[in-house]
Amino acid sequence: MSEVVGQVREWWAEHPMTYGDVHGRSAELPGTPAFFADLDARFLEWNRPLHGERPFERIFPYDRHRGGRVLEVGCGMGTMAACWARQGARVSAVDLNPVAVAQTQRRFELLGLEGDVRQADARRLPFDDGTFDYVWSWGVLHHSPDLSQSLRELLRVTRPGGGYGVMVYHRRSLLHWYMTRYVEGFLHMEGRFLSDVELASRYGDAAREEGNPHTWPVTRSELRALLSAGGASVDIRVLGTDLDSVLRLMLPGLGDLLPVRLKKPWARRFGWSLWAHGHRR
Amino acid sequence: MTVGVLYDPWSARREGRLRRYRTMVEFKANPRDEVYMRALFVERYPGGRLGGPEDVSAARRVVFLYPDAIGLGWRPMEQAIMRRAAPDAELRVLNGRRRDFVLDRRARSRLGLRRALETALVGEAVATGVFLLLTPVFLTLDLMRGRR
Repeated sequence: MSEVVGQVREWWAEHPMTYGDVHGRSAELPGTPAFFADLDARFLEWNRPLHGERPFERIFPYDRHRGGRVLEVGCGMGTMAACWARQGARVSAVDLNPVAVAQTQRRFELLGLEGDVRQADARRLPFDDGTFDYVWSWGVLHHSPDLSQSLRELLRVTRPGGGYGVMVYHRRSLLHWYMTRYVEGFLHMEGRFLSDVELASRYGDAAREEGNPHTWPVTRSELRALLSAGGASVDIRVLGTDLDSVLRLMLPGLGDLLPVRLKKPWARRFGWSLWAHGHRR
Repeated sequence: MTVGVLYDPWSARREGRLRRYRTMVEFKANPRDEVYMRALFVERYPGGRLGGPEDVSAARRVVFLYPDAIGLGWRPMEQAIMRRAAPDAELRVLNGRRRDFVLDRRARSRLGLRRALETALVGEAVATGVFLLLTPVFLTLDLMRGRR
């Protein structure tokens, strides 16, 4: 397993999340204000339905944890960690990938924000039990070869009664069924060469490159069972912010014309992201 | 002697009346460029050389370098090569997904089926039917649960 973790670390260091069509690429020079502005614009646009007056206001309880200690597990380029810091939380952030850590530190420095950003493995977080009031992870833990242990760790460092939020990819989604299993697995015959996990890793994320070493989307019931076993209350929403891009390919000619009202029933059932949130008991 | 055949059917497909359809098919096919395919061939077949249909008659092994996964648009090129290749020559595919396999009759029929399904958008037609059928059901269920 540690070999896979090493591969995951190296892959993401070479292809850091820049929210472009291709991971790791940006028209701007990394570490510059223009670079962060460019990737924030993309990331925020992708997740437009989750914003209110403040970014991600519909899912993050900023006001409840103003002045509190919060932790992001897998901070990437630090967009969300910076959102929390701007709302007055005392932010810690970890990532397995040293490039992400350096870029998030640079972002905080440029914005004059304070934060403790360091390199760490989600399976072994370098914090005492119950350190944080709120812990979240966005689009990261499905790349961990030991999701169960990573979730246990996330809940361990959350104080009893503290909140958490976890976004992971959803296996019962249109994207997984159509793009990964039908188009790549069947039509492109990749299912003849790859196991289910290899197929999801290769095409669940970063399909424009050679994929990444590990991606395994989960189902709602799997995620609920893992979090409940870790001693948390669990509420799960399906987020379908990806749906437009899938429907455009899956329903050619029709996908672009559909009103939001007709897409919503599909997004809330078969979107690509699961957002689990609740409290540690 | 191993001869690798490079052919890019995509460049000719990017223009014309069906541009939008072709762009969509190409997006899903995600074909690799010539530089990528050349490098892949050199990596997998270090002693081989690149050539066209006119170079395959003396080859012991011919490698079709599909830039995508299943060789969309390759049928005329395949036919031209098969007419000229020696009857006992080994025919293989090395594709833009880095998969290497023998192009026997079974593989040709698998590829033929998939090319037809992909270009005729059969899966998408079925998906559209399912979407139209289930959307009213989901909408009704959501309304009954008070979700708009």
